[in-house]
Order: sequence, then structure tokens, then C-alpha cells
Amino acid sequence: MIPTIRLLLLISFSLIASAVEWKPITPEELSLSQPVVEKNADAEAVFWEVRVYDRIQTIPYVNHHVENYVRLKVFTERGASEHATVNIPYSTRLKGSLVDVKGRTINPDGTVIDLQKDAIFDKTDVKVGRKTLRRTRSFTLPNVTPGSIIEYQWQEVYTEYIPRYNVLNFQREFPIQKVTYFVRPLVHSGFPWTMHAHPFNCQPTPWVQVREGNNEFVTTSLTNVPAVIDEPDSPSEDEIRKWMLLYYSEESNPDPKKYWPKLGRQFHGEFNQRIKINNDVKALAAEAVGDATNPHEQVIRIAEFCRTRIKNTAFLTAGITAEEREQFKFKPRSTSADTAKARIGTPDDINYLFAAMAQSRGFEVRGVRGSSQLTALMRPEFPDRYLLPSEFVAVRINEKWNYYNLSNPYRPVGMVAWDEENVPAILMDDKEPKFFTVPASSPQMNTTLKKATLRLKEDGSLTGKVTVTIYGHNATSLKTLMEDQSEARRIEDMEEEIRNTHGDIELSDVRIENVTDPTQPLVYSYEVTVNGYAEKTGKRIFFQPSFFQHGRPARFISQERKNPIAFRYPFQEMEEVTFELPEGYSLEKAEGIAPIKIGDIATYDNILTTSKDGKTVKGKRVLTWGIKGEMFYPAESYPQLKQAWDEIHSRDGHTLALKAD
Amino acid sequence: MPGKLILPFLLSLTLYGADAPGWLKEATTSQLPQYPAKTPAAVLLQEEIVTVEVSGKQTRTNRYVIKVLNRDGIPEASFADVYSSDTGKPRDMKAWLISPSGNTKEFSKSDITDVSASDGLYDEYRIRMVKAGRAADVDSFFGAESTIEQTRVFSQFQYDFQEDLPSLRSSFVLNVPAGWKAEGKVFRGAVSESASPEVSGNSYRWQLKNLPPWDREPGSPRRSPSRPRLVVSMTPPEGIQTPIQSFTSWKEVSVWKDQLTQKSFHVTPELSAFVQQVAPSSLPEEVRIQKLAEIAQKIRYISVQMNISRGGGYTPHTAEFVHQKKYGDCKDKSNYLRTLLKAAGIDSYMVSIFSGDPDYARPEWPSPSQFNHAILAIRVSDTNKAPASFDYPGIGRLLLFDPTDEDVPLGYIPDHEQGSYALLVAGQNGDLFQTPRTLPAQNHLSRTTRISLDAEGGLKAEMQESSTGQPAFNRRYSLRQQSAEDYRKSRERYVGYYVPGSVLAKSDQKDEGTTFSSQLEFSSKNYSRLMQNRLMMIRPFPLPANGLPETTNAKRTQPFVLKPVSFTEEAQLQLPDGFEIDELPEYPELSTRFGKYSIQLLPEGNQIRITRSLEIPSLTVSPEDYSELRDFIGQVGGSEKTPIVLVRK
Repeated sequence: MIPTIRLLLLISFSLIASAVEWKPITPEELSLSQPVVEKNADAEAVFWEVRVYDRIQTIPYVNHHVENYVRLKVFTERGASEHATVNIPYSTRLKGSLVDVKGRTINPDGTVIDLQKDAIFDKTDVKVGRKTLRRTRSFTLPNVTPGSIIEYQWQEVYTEYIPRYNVLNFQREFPIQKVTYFVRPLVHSGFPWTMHAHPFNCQPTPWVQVREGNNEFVTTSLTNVPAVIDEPDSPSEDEIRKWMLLYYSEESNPDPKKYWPKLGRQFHGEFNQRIKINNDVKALAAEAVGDATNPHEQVIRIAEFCRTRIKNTAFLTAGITAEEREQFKFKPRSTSADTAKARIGTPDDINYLFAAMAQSRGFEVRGVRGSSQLTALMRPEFPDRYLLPSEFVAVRINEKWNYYNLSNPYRPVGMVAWDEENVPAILMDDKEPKFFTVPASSPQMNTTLKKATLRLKEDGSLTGKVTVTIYGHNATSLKTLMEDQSEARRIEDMEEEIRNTHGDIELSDVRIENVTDPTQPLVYSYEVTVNGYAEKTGKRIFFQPSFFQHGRPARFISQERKNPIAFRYPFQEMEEVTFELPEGYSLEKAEGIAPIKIGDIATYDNILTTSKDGKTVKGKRVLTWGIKGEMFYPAESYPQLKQAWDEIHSRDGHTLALKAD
Repeated sequence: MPGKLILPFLLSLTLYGADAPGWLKEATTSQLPQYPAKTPAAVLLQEEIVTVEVSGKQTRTNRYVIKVLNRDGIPEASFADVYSSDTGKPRDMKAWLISPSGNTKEFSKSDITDVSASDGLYDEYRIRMVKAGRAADVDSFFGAESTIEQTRVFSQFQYDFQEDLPSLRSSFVLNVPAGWKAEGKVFRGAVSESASPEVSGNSYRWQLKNLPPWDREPGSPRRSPSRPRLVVSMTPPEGIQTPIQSFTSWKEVSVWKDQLTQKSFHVTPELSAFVQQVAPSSLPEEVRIQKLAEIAQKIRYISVQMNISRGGGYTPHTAEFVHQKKYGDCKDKSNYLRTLLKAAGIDSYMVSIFSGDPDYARPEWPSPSQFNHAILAIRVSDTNKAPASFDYPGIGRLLLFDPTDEDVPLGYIPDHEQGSYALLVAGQNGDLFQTPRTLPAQNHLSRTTRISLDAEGGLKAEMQESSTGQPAFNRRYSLRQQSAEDYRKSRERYVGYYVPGSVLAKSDQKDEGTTFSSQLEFSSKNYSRLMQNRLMMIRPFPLPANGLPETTNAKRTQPFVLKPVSFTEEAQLQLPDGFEIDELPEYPELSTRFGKYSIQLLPEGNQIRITRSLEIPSLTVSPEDYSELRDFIGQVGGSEKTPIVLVRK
């Protein structure tokens, strides 16, 4: 059941008096000496109240108001230092202003020190031309010490503006005993939209109607909210943070079963408006396809043509200059015919052109709208387009749908962006749109192949040549980053990354190839000398044959984990290393490395072989992760996941001993 | 009527096909020398022209032209000018971009952004800037011109001839009122040289040409000797009345600053009562100083910069204000402590210093503009031997203290303030002096470790550390910046980095002012490598020595600064049952001018007693000597990794 806030408010709107005054401080709050929500917190909010309402100023002008009231208890010096100064940034872009700022400090003995008005500063952060875009209201509450209670209020007002979407945070950088939202939507006969709310990652109390003086609100709250935790390899913040989306919709009480097919048809209509097949499009398609007859080959050629021959205004491939980009006239509703004629377009334009060209060759083409791993994922029970930010193209070849996103020219044909994989999506259709999960790329598509030929010396140092070839999403990310850098900078950054791994190292002849070539994998190579690679004692030399893992810490170190774990995409690491051993030394009873199989998730093989003459050791390490595409693991599975990575790290550290002959 | 509407609309648009001014066109014809490939852009022209009136009104015009040399240089196609919003008025800013094809674009007023210059609570300094952004390309030229009118109370100017980019031509032009004189000096690191300007009537021009690019290498001094800074003082004719303040000696600067601070130096009855309460006169003087210093240090640092151009940046709030609000900036905190000490009958003096670069302030140019920070010098007993104490002629033993630095206790000053020129603000007794430096032994970390190993290669370790000086300040800072839980996690990551598969069982710390102590207990199942189920290879130290500098680059062109630090460790290694020593390495004792390092292993039954020590002096190593330093550090690193080999009995 979607809460429809309008229905809860049956009375007509009334004028809202500004914020509540200070609430009484209870003896319990004053004497509180330990945090309630998180035992080691430096400060904790006793409450955070937010009033959100849209109010008719004079018909037809509506103002959007957000009133905040925070009461914090400070427990430590660090808490005092962190929370005494308050910076409230606000945007003036939407005629926004910040009013009714007030604050006070309640000393541990109950005495109160009010924040003086002349201690509140307003500064312009960004002004462009004559327009002020962002300002900050700042103040420091007086005499804040451990044991103090500090509280402050402010109101943001956006004139002549009704936001369709309002993100209501329940979780902040400090723990909160109770968060309460008071909401009043716009209810007016001339405004046909209805306000709804959907919670994410939390279960606030059911909405209830309350009266404050002459004002009616609906209210919901959440208690004992811990502080947001930042952990590596976490899903998007929207998938772990507690929040609620407040939104207006044309539908008063949407039925998800009817809403999604209707939206799918609507998307289809919007997509088709951008697809216009004329002679320019057909001519380009014919040029792209050439002599290809195989359907797969034809689509690949069209896609390759679009990403390499059509200038993408967001990237440097196809030789676009800054001047061309400046002179490109962006049209919000340009069609594929426009792009075909200009041979230049935005990332979206290029996808539409690809769709039109494929369609012109007789292929069945659909648009896809999907979620992104960078935000919250679509939920069927939440009937709104908010969680479907990405769009790409599906082409049916031999009865199977294949997915293409050519918005980034460095992305190999046949792949969508990494954040568009493994997420729910809608295949658009004018009759029966379909829900599906966008398939993940295979680990092999995202392979990093590392090869090294090395000579180990008697003093423990080694020298040799290294070549690394990167495919798939990793190559796309690196090329996207590197294309805006000079060659010197690319090499400098690459050298730094190599040094961070190997430590005391000398590099020479570092080369990076194919950065702006969309059709080739990214390749880098270097000559290397690592001093002290092997550990030398009086009689022996010990060395780690997994050269590329030398000096790397374990992937997961922390014993505890709060958030789920989400790797971005499946991947494969292939490493082939050849060691020439120092003269006068031979292997001392070398042992092999046991392989690892982690269910359907991953495999690890590290095979060592010795040449017949005993002078060379070869290692081949292959780590394949995400075999079935699953890349999300609940927090409860962290101990097993950590153990698996610790095992891999332990095997990577396998050491061989050489003994003097 | 429609024309009136259209005209402003047209003016707000960026103009394409515009014509660049002559000075910009001329600059673009300059021939560039061959720069290193990574040089992102070159400055073809940098010029600041200041015209001063007797009233103190100044008009400042900046011109700037760059050429983008590679893609990293695209963000350099921008220009920024700083002004103070209390007395400065931006009059004009224009910018042009000449594309590689020769097309000229003139930026409009709507392309100019105006932003606050700091993240402080409030700051009147603002920055006006214009950026070409992605409109710029490799081989584009970007030029800008800005004019700002302002009123300043000072007769002195500083001009950086360059930032990091190479500069073909960089000039500072000063147009003084009739009869006034100007004199300049150029500082290159610690070296100063008098600079001869081209003089034409009342106009002085200082100019440098062909300045190479500057790319700061890690560990180098903050200010490279190759980056020149011009300082200029102008003097009015005798007898002329002007609000412009000028200085010819450090004593004059001391007197001027003393006058400003005296206005806020009042002991009120309330403050006297407070001091009596928290530091009664019955206590020894050093204890009273300690208590009052801690109170001042706990005052929250908040910067509110107002009336900057009229000397507001030099006048502290009263101690009464700071005491009530419990916040203030560096001069507020120093003045607060000075007032509390006065109430306790203890003399102290404000000290002006440059925070962040000990080489910045130069004695040859008496000027308050050389400082950005205020600390305090407290009169102490002649027997005080704290690292931050020193003898000042005519006043006696003084102890420097920085109440703004929350991590450095009384007795020390932070490393970036050591060895720096600073001004004692003491009226006619005030003068420039050099702050004391610490010795390696005063920045010490000692560690005691007990390690036990099992027959499978597992380890259990208990570790106790005690630090003073900079290692203690660093740990205190780290603890203060994080919640207790996050600090524990950072320790867990630290141990986990060096000890694979480690589990941190205990992480405690105790901050006792001068000393910071910590305890760690951790274990790992795969610390040692067991080979062929027979040989066991053990690193004798789970964690590295503290204080070893990082010298990853094989070569450098700039000096490398070693900071004084020392470290000792005593470890007891319990061997696993069933194993005996097969190979016990012999470690060379290293003693060089870059430091000393030693390890001793002493087998005792099924234990090995291990001691190691490291000492690094305060030293600036020249690029020529860098490889020798790197050899020393490499030998230390090698020794740290050399394993002990055990064999199954």
C-alpha cells in the first residue's frame, strides 16, 4: 500500500506559522552521560524534526518550505569540536533562501546561552556573473563542552517552486535517537498531483495526522538511527542509508500492476520520438554494414561505426576538438536523423542513431530503461520512474535480445555500463513492456592479463619486462580517465600506482598504448628493477613467485562488517610470470599451490612449473570472480568472504626457497 | 523600446569571433623554449600593475596569458584575482580564448565566478575567476585582465613571480605618488638579493624572464630556491601625512603590532577570579602555566576575518570575549592565554610566525605581511630546558607555545614552526629571532614487543609503544580526527597491512600530554612461512621501525628534508616448539650522516632477544647526496626484511 498523503489531510490548507519554539529540556536529557544509540558516539541527536510543506503564497505561486530542528547531546571533546560549528549550505538557484536561523547551548548545569544574531554569518560560496548560486549560513554555538546540549533551527524557502521529488534523510553522520518528519503536501483544486512517500532501507512509523496550532501535518518517525558507516566495496549509499522519497505523482493511487506496463509504453513512445529513419540514416547504416551478412556481424559493425565514426561531444575519440564541441548546438529532442546528418552528437544521440541504423537494416529494436548500481534499485512495489535513470538499446538477433550502450565509445560493443548490469530494467514496448534483470558481463570479458619475464639476482633484486593488457569495464574506466590527461601524466600516475604496490622499485620505458583507440584493449608495459624483492639469508634466497601480488595487503582486513558487500562486475585476473633463477642457486624442494573453488562464485589456480634444467620457474595464476554474475553479498556472509580472500592472499604469498649449490 | 531589452541580452552573451587586445596578441607570438614533456602549460605573460595614491587608495591591474601545452594544461586556461570585500571593489575582468585554429572567443560577465576564499566561518577575502573549461584545447592561448580598486593601510607588497608553471615574462609594476620611493628584494628560498627595477618617473618595474617550471618533489622544502618572491617597500617623502603604514626595522613592526594587541589585552576581575580558581597561586609556577596553557588550547579554533584591509587581521578579540564564547582564531587564543598568564602574574609576549614553511619569513624585509600565524612566548625559569625554550636577549628565558595546535603540548612547538624566523611582539624590546629546533631524541618512539610463534607459523604479539615529540603529536592528531571506533579500525588496517591475516584483539591508547602510549595485541595464523613442513622463515619484526623516510624516487632535482626522529624496540621472540635456529642473520650496524641503525639478535634457549634502534637527524640533503641517502634507507629496509630461518628438530 503506497501512502497517499493527500488522503490523510482532509481539511483545506491553512497558513503555517513559522517554526516551533524551543522545546523544554528534560532532566533526563540534561543528565544523559552515555549515548543511547551507539555506545562510543562523540555526540548524538536527541531528536531531529523536519517540517516539509508546500504553501500557496498567492495563487498561482507556491513556495516550498523545509524547517529543521536538531537537538544534540555532546559527550566528548571531539563531539564538541565537531558539532559546535554549524555550516548550512543552501542553493539560491531556485530563488532559495535560508531564514529563521537560531541556536543555543544548554550548559550541563542547565543554564542557557543563546546564539547571538551577529554571530551568524552568511557568505557567498559561488557567484557566477551577477547570479549567486550557493551560499552558506555559518555559526559557532558558544561554550560547547562535553555534557552540553546544543540545538538549532533553520528554514529553507524555495520561492515559486514545487519539487516533484524530495529526499528525506533519516540517517546522518551522527546517531539520532528519533527522527520525525512532519509533511504537508499541496492540496488545491487547481493542482491535480498527489503526494506519496516510499521508505528505503527502513520502516518508519505509519503516517498519522497531527495538529500544531492551526496547522495540520501528517507525521512519521524512526527511532534509534545509527550513524552512516562508510566501508569499502559497499553498495550505493541509497541502498544502505535509511531514507524516504517524498514525491508528487499524477496518479492518486497507482496500482503497480497497471503502472509499470503503462510506463513501459510511455517510455517506448518517448524513445521512438527520437528514432527517425531517413536516407541519411539508411546511407550510414549501409556504409557501416558493408559486406557483412551475418546478423551479429551487421549489428557489431553498426555499433562500431557509431562509436568510432560519430563524434561524441563528451569524449575525445573520433578526433573531436574543443572548438567543435563548443560549436555543437545541443537540441533537447534531436532525432537520429539530425545526428546522422551532423555526424556528431551527445552520448544519448549516438544510442538513438545506433537504434535507428539497426532498425533501418530490419532488426527489431527496443529501448531499455534500467536502474543503476550507483543509486537505489527499482522496486516493483514503488510505482515511479525515479529509480530508472539509465537508458540503452536492445536489438533482437536470432530471437535473443542483445544490449548495447554506446554512450561511452571506450565501452566494448555488446556491453552496457557496469552500473547498468545486474539491475532490474524494463524492455520498452507499445503493447507489453517486460521486466527483466540486465545480465552481467562474464569474468572473461573483464580480463586483466599480466605477463612478466624476470631475472632474479643473487643479491635478492630482480629485473625484467612487464606487459599488462586490460579488457572490458576496467579498460573503459581507465581510458575514460586517461583520455583527458597528457601522456606524461598518464605515465606518471601509472608509475605511482606500480610503486605503491612494489615499494622500492626502479621503472623505465613505461609505455601506455591504445588509450584513445576504442577498438583495442588498454596495454601498458615497463622495464622494472625491484631492489630487495627476495629475502636473502646466509645460505638461501626466499622469493614470492606471484610477482604481481607482491606487497599487496589482504583485500579485507577489518574483522567486522556492517554493510553488504558489492563488487562492481565479474572479473578475471590472469598472470603469467617467468623467473630466471640466479646462477649458483637451485630450488630447495619446491611445493605447489593448492587451487581454490568458492562454490559458483570464484576459482583460483596458481600453477608453478620448473624448467628441466632447473634454471627457470614459471607461474600461472588465474583468479576468476563472479562466474554466475552474482556480485552482491549480504553482510552476514562477510566472514566467509573474508576467509576466501584471506586464503587467496595466503596462497599468493607462497614462497620458494633457493639454496646455494 | 525593444532595443533596450535586446541590448543587455546581447551583452550577456559570450562573443565569438571577437578580437583579442594587442598585449594578448603580442604575447602569443613568443617563442617557447623546450620544456619537459609533462609541463602542462606555459605562462607567456604575468603582470601586476599597482597604482598607489597618497590616501591609501590603490588600483591593481593584472594581466595573464598562458599557452596550453598538453591536455593536463586545459584546466590552466583560467584566471583568478583575490580581493577583500570590505575595502576592495572589482572594477573589471575580461578574458579571451584563442583556439588553435585562430578563432578568438571573448568571455562574458556571466562566465565570471566570485567565490569565498576560505572554508572558515567568515572571510572577507574573495576570489573572482574565469575558466575556459572544455572550450580550451591543446595549443590554445588564454588571456585575462582584471582591475580591482582597494584601500590598504600598508606600504609593502609581495609578488610571486611564478607558481608552478614556467613563465616567459613576469613583472610587478608599482606606480607610486610623486616624491615617493620604492625598494625591492627578491627571495629565492633562504637567499635574498636586491632587485634593480626599471624606473621611469614614478613607475618601478621589476621583471624576470624565462623562469623554468617548478614541480615539487615529495620531501623537498616547502619553497624551492628556484621560485622567486619579490618584496617591495615604498617610503613617502619626509613630512608627508599619509595613512599608509611603513616599516624600516623589525622593532617598528614590533611596536606597531604591540599597539594593536594592547587594545585587547585587559585582565577583568572575572578572569582574575577564574585564574585563581583553575591555577591558584599556591601552585608552582610551571604547573600554573601548564594548566592555563591547556585551557587556552581547548578553546575551539574559529576564524572570523573582518576588516582585513584595515588591520583587522592583526587585532585579537579580548580575552573576555574568547572566555565567554569558547572560540577564537590563533591571535585570539594567544591573546587569551597571555591575559590569563597576566592575571597569574606571569609575563608573556605575542609572537608572529609563518605557519607551514620555516623558510618563508626572511629577516631582510621587516614586514608584518611575512607572517600568517600567532603563538605565544612565555617567560619561564632560567632552568627550563623544554625543547621550545630559548634565551631572548634583554628579556630572559622564554618558552614558545602554540595554543592553536591541539596536538602539541606545552614544551614543544610543531615541526613546521621550528627553525623559523619569528617576531617577538614586545614593543621596543621586540625583534626577529629564530625558533629552536628539536633533537632526534626529543621525537622518540620506544616499542616493547613479545612475540610467540606456533609450529604452524602462527603468531601472537603483544606490543607497547610510548612516544614523545612529533610521533606523539602525529598519533594524537590521528586519534582526534577519528572516533574511537574509527581509530581502532585504522590500527587494525595498519597491523593488517604488515601482518597478513592478522586479528586485532586489543588496541588501547593513553594520552598523557607529553607522552602518548598505546598497546596492541594481535595474532595471525600465517605470519611465518612454513616450507616443506620443515623450514620456517620468520620476519623478526611484525611492524616496521618508526621514522624511516620514504625515498621511492630513484633520482631527484630538489633537496630532501630529513626531520629529526628516533626509535628503539626491544623484542622477545618465543620460538615454536620442535624448531631450532637454522640461520640467524648478521645485521650490519649502520652509522652515516643520514642516520644510525642497528639490530642485535641474542639467542637465549628457545627465545631470541632482539633490539633495534634508528636515529634520523635534522638535515637537508642535497640532490647530489640523495643516492647516498637512498642507499642508507635501502640498507635499513633490507635489514628489516631479512628473515630468521628455523628448521624442525
